[in-house]
This record gives sequence, structure tokens and C-alpha cells, in this order.
Amino acid sequence: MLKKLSCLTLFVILLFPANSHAIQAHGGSEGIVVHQLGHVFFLISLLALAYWLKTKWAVKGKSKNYLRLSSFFLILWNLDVIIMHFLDEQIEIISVSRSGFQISISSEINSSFLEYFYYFGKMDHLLCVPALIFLYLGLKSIESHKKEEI
Amino acid sequence: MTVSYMPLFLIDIFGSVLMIVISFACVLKSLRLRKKDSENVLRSFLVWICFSLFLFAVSRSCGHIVKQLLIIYGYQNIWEDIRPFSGSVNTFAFIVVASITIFFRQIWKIHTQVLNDRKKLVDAHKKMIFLNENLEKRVEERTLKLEKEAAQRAELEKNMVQAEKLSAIGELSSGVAHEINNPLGIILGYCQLLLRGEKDEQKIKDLKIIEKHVKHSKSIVQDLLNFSRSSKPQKKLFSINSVIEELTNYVKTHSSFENIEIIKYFSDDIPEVCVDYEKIKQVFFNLIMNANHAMNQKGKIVIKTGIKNDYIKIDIEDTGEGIKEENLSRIFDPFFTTKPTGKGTGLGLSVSYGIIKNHGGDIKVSSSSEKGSVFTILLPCDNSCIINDGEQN
Repeated sequence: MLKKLSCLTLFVILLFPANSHAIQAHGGSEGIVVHQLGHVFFLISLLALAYWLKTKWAVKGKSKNYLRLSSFFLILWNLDVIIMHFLDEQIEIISVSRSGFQISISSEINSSFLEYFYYFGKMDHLLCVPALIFLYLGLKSIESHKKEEI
Repeated sequence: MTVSYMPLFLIDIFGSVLMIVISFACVLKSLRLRKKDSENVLRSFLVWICFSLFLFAVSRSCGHIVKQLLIIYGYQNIWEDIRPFSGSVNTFAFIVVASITIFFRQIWKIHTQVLNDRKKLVDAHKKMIFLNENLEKRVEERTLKLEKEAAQRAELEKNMVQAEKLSAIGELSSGVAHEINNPLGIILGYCQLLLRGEKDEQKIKDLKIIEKHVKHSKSIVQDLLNFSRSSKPQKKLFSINSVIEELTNYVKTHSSFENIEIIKYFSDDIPEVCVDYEKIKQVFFNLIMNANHAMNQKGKIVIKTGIKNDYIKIDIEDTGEGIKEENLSRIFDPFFTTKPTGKGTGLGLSVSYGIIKNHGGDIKVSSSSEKGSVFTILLPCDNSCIINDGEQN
């Protein structure tokens, strides 16, 4: 009985074809949303890592502190870039124009704080480079003080 | 606001280069760490994180450097074309880093669980091995103890049977010997009285036969009396070697030992022990005389002395015809003898057995038809009679 029903269904499908809407088209704005979600995911994972390092984990002493500092700087970096992307590409209230080695930053709400915040916020390497340095120091500490590991 | 672009440019360029360099250094360091302990899951995690960060640093930094160079040289439009690819790779890279980080906790949990389980297994294995070894040892000890107890019980039972037998026969013998000894004394006295005044050769001959048999009967009765009188031994310190030496010197003078060689192997380590001199001498005498009879007055008697587990061990070997296996268990029974009628009373070994037991020792026999018999006497190295004497004094 079931076999007969299956055959009948297949026959109907083949006889009466229609448009398939399975593949959804993606607009240009999806890129920045995905990127931002990626940053949020990265941020959450780093918060979790910082929490594990604070409570109980396999690393102790100096190495643990270096890894915590690394995750702290990466969290700050993520927050910074999320905000910068938001200002720059999502709500688009900041406009930048360059002339030689001078740049002009203006905001739609005419907030000089926001403009300076944007200017310094763009220097995100000041956050991600220390994060990597602390990661390296953490690894070095693990190597030199093997006993710190459980 | 209008500000200098130079700080942004320099931080971007140098920051990007530093990111690549440092993340690469992190990769090398993490690999070195993992190489030292490849089974450590934390080190594997650090390798994955460092690789992902390196991928992220390369894609991001290259993107930033290219971006800055294209903007400076006025190719903004080209950067706009490249930008989606650079951004996508960046997104992909830090999602990978995030995934590894967030899922590592689960991996770490599983790893810790596996490690704990492994530790428990190792502990359980060790415990089982210990129990197994201990069990084997305990079973072995218990088995040995049971075997020892069983042997002791069997020995005790045997001794009890022997003691009961001796006791019963002793009582009987004592009564019979006492009643017979007096008439025998009278017969012997009258016989000797008759012999004094008798001239007839035939009568003298007959009376001599009567006298001989009465004397023999008296000796049997005397043996019976000796056997039944199990008096407490009068112990004094004596050297067993000296007792045997004195006895062998005495028996050698006997005509029946003319063709018998007596070989002695005396140990010098034997201490003086508390024994009843006369009774112990009687034991050795009985054994040596038995050996003599077993060899038909021709052969070799070897006497060895030594120490074995706080006991003095004396072996008396002969080269005689040996004892039949079926007789070995009865050899110490009273009145058991293989000698012809009139030659032995069957009390010698029985009396010897009693004396040795009264001294806290043991007597055993082993025999084979080819090699003869070996009587082994064990006497405890006991010098308590010195203390007793001292107390009495």
C-alpha cells in the first residue's frame, strides 16, 4: 500500500512541475551582518575563554595571566571593530574624506566626540597586536614553566 | 574634524606586519610545545588557535596593507573590488578561531573525563593486581598451614594410637610379669640347688637346659617389667657423641661384632643435652644389636650425628636385609618381631620408642631390601636440666 502511494506521489510530481524557491538570493547588506555576527561569536567565545581561565583550567600561574590578558585585548578589539563597522557600514553616520595625508571626519549628528572616537577607534591594531604579544608570552611561559600546567 | 592620516596609516601598516610576524611566532611556539607532548590536548588546542589566528592575521593584514597602498596611490576603486574577498576571509578566519575556542571546552571536558577514567582504570588495575597477588599469597599461606596442621594431626593420632597400645600392653605386661617372675625365681633357685649335688651327667645336662630356658624367660619378664615401668627419665647433661662412643667401644668387644665394621661420623657442633644416660644408652644398644642381627653378624654399621632444626639427629644405618614394607608400620609395636621364636621378645624397639618419646624426641625408620635400614633418632637440644638442678640445689 505504502509502495503504491509513493509511486503515485512521484508520478504526480513529475507530471506537474512548478518553480522551485529553495535557493534564496542574498543582498549586499548580508555581508556586513555576517561579518558582525562573526565578531559577536568571536567575542562570546573569548568571554567564555576568559571565564574558564578565571575559574579552573589547565593553565596556571604566569601563563594563565598572559592568556587572560590576550583574551581581554581580543575582547576589546572585537568590541572596537563591531562599533566601527556599525558606525561605518551599518548606520553610516560617519563620512570620511582624504586629501593627501589629512583626513576629514564628519558625523551626521555633528558630534566631535563621535568623530574622535571614530578616529582613535580605527587604530584597532593597538588592541589586536598586544593580544597576540600576550598570547606569545603565554606560550613562552608554558614552555619555560612546564610545571604550571596540570 | 580634520586630522593627520599618518598615525592611522603607520599603525595600520606596522600593526599588520607585526600581526603576521607575532602570529607566525605563536604558530612556531605552539608547534614546539605540542612536539614535546603530542598527547596533551591543551597544546593541540593552542596549535589550532595559533594557526587560525595566523590565517586571520595574514588575510587581514594583507588586506589592510594592500588597502593602504591602493588608497595612497589613488586606486580606491580596485580596493573596493578586492574588499569583499578580504573581508570574507577575515570573517571565516575569526569564526574558525571562535569555534575552536568555544568548542574546546567540550573537548577539554571529554579529555578530562577520559583522563579521569584512565586514572581510575589504572588504579583499579593496580588494586586488582595487588588483590590477586595477595590472594595467591594468602591461599598459599593457608594451604601450607592446613597441610602442616593435617600432618601434625596425623602424627598426633599416630602417637596417640601408639601410646594407647603401649599403655594397654604395659598394664597387661606388668601384671603378667609380676605373677610369673616369682615362680620363675623359685624354679631357677631349685634348679641351681639340684645342679649343685647332681653327679649324673644326663641329669646335669637336663637341668642346664631348664636353667637356660628359665633364665631366658626371666630376661623376657625383666624386659616386660622394664617396658611397663615407664618411669620419668632422670635427665642429666651428656654428650650424645660420648654415649655412642662408649657404647660402640663396649659392643666391639662382643664376639658377635667380630665381622662388623662400625663407622662413626660425629658432628662437633652437637651440644650436650639433658638425657637419661642409662635409657638413651639402652636405645642405642637396642638399635645396634638389631642391626647386628639384621646383618647376620656380618656387615657395616654407620652412625652419624648432626644438628637439624634445634634437634640432634642420629642416624644408625646397617647393610642388612632390610625390613619388609608391610612390617614398617608395625616395627615399634610391642611384641612384634621377625626373629625366630625364642630369639627376640619384640620389645626392644617398642621400649626404645617409648624412651625417645619420653625425651621429647622422635624415632623413625626407613628401609630398603638393597641398602638395609636406617633408624633416625631426633632428640631436642634441651639443656633445661641445668636450670632445674640449679633450682633444686
